[in-house]
Amino acid sequence: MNVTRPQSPVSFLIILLHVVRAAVAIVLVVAAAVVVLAWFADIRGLELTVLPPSFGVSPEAHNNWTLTIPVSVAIDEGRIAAPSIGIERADLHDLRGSLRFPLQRGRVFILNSLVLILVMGVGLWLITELQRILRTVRDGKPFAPSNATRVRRIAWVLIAGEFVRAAIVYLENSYAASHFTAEGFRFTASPDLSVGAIVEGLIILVIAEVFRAGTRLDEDQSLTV
Amino acid sequence: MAIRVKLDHVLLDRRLTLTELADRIGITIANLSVLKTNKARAIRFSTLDALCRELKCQPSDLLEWSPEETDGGSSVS
Repeated sequence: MNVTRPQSPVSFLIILLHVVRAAVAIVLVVAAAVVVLAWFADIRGLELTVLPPSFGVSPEAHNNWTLTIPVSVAIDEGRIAAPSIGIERADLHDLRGSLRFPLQRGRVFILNSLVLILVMGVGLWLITELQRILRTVRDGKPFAPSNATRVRRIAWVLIAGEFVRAAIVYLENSYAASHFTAEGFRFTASPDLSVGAIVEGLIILVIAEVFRAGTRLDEDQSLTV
Repeated sequence: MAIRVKLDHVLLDRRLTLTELADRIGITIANLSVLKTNKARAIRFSTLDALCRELKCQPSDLLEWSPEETDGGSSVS
């Protein structure tokens, strides 16, 4: 049973994922190489961003290395009001942003580099799994038993990944809160756990179970004479 | 599976090959082979009808239930 035509959206998606995967793989290898090289050689202007993960080298812009981390901010001073609608006092909540600062070689650099490489690695793995699933769809065998396992694995990685992301954000927030001072506001630490991302993971888990049931039906069908 | 398909015995009696039978009833050799080697999970009435018609036999000549082969894990749902 062949369910896809050569020009179908599935073939297009496979090609698209192939390109994305190649790009992520190249960035991952280059990032790992630059981070390792930076430890031994004098690379100027290395810029690391933890979340979302990115890195760059701009020798002319900065002599120092810079690290950008997620921060949470609370404002102590200042007054917010809306007299025209009768509100005398309002508060700003959940102020989040990114803090960029110069960095030297050390533990913070190593830990953040590892986080960057880990996040990219997980992304690469996710794309590879999606590619494998799409290939089975293209070959007319979407209910291969391995697909149910793959979808379930993706769901668990997304759920666990959200907890890990929240933990990383909390640690970065704590680092900023304990080392940086500012006038008019202060850095705070909060986990920023996204319930939406966990619900998405749970929905994919349900789809994985549907896939498993589909696999059994497909097996029954193929063994019915 | 406690149900055993005796297609090989019937084919031997009728001096027919699996390929000839497949041609006559319009079912692929691969599918008939699944049936003959007892790997089938279900058989359609239309298939059974075609087999009985071509082999001039009853369903009971093709199928047999043997209690010692009951795996105990399968259920009808």
